[in-house]
Amino acid sequence: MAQHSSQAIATLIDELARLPGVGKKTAQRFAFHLLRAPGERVLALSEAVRAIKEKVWHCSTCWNFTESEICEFCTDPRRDHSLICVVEQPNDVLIIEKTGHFRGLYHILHGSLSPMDGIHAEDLKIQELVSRLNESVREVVIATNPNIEGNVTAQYLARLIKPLNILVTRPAQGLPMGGDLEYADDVTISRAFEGRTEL
Amino acid sequence: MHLSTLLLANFRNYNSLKLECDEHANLFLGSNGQGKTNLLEAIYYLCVARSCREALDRDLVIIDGDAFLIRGSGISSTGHDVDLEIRYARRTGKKVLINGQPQRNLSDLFGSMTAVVMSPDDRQIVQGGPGCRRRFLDIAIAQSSPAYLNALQDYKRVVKQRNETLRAHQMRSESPADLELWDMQLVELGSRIVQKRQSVVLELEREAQSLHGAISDDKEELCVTYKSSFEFGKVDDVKAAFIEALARSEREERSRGLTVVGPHRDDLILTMNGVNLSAYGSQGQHKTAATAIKLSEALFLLHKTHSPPLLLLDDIFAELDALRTTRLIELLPVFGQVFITAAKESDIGAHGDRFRRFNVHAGQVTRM
Repeated sequence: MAQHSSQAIATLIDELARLPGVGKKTAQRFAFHLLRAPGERVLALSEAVRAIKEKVWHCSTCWNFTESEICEFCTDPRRDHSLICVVEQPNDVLIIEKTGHFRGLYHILHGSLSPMDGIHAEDLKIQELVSRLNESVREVVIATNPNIEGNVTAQYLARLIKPLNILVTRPAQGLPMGGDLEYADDVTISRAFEGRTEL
Repeated sequence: MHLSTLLLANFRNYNSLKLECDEHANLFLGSNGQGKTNLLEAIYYLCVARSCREALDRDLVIIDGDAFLIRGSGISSTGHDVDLEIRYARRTGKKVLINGQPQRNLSDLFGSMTAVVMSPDDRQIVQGGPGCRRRFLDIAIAQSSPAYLNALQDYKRVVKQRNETLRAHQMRSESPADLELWDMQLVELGSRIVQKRQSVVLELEREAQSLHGAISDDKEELCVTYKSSFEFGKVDDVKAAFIEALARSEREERSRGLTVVGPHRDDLILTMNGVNLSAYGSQGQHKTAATAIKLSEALFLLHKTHSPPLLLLDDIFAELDALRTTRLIELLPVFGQVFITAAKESDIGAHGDRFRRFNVHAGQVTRM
């Protein structure tokens, strides 16, 4: 391994290399870029990094990231508080929000059931979801990923929530827009046919 | 379907190779250890992104190298011009490109070009464990139906998750509420796999029986049957039978922390005149049965995709007698493009002039 003339540079490279998608070489490039960059830019970056740990925590209602006790979604009176969309990760909220189509609230599980990775029901924010479900909640949309673990998690939640007389739905699965039928796999096509809608 | 050019870089003992293939028949001659099998392995790898010798990807890289590349162009199974490329680097893994476009899933490659490789190792289909036979069957089906591969990969994941759930319950002794959820996935995917395998085995058996008669004088009847780890009547009953079998084995599964029924425990039973080949057959019977079964895979793919797979015959003639060699060579035109390796030309009898011949020596291939 290359020896660095400064311990500070070596430490920075090691820390950067821990980021996802960043290897040793990229980490070195970042580090030398920062060394050359104006002081105020580097300080702004380090402040920004520090701030996410000092100011950001989880919303006590939906477990999304927020800077207040309760996040801006959960306190927004214009949103439909009788509708809750359950997702695996905070990132999923950004994706759904981008469409501007969903006006309900969110609940972030922070993962999906995966025993082989040691993730069981009690490791997810499931109890926190159930305790949110009072009589004003009309529908829960379970938008976990359409893979094995996401589907099992959805089934698990459905079993918990349905007895509370709340409507449980799952977003439709099927053909992508702009796609050719020819290139879709059997499972996707059969799912799309099961969930067909009247024109 | 055929492969017109093959390009290798840093693959096995090939530093760099460009090969122009004959549309029908190619023969690679050379002594042992020169790289004949590596060539067939590269062609196979280009079709299914894995080694036919179950080698690890990192072992396919040339000694002291970091990465390899296989590229081939030709006509795909759907009759279009196609350019396939697989790049592997020790650090970043495998990438598949079709017509220059990177593919998200390796399964997207399946079906572009199909291949069947035959080698002396095929005896494992008869002599080896159930895993060898499942692997044979799965690759045959996956090449004709890429969705099968996805279902199989998902199924294997569900088995792992379910086993882990069973083990967690052993340690924590709580009510198995989530086990039931994994059961639903297991049954759903597992039943689809069993149904597909069952129907493919029927087709394979039909092909194998006619081939067995064509390559040997044996009047014996070869039978191939799918043996599920649970009994079921009609194909429509698979799901119900699977659920019942799971219920029956509940106690065993809980104590062992293992999923003991399902397609991951299934097998193919090969019989000759009603006698189990794996247990009782002679070496000669094993050899002919293995040849018939592998060729039946090629015929199955031909009928399924309406295009003959690339047939890769790795040193199989040295083991066959003159009569069987001639019969097999005479069958070859049915299969489209063929690649054969042999230590010496006499191994394939007097048929050498039907082939475009190449000499393979120390990682270099020259036209003869």
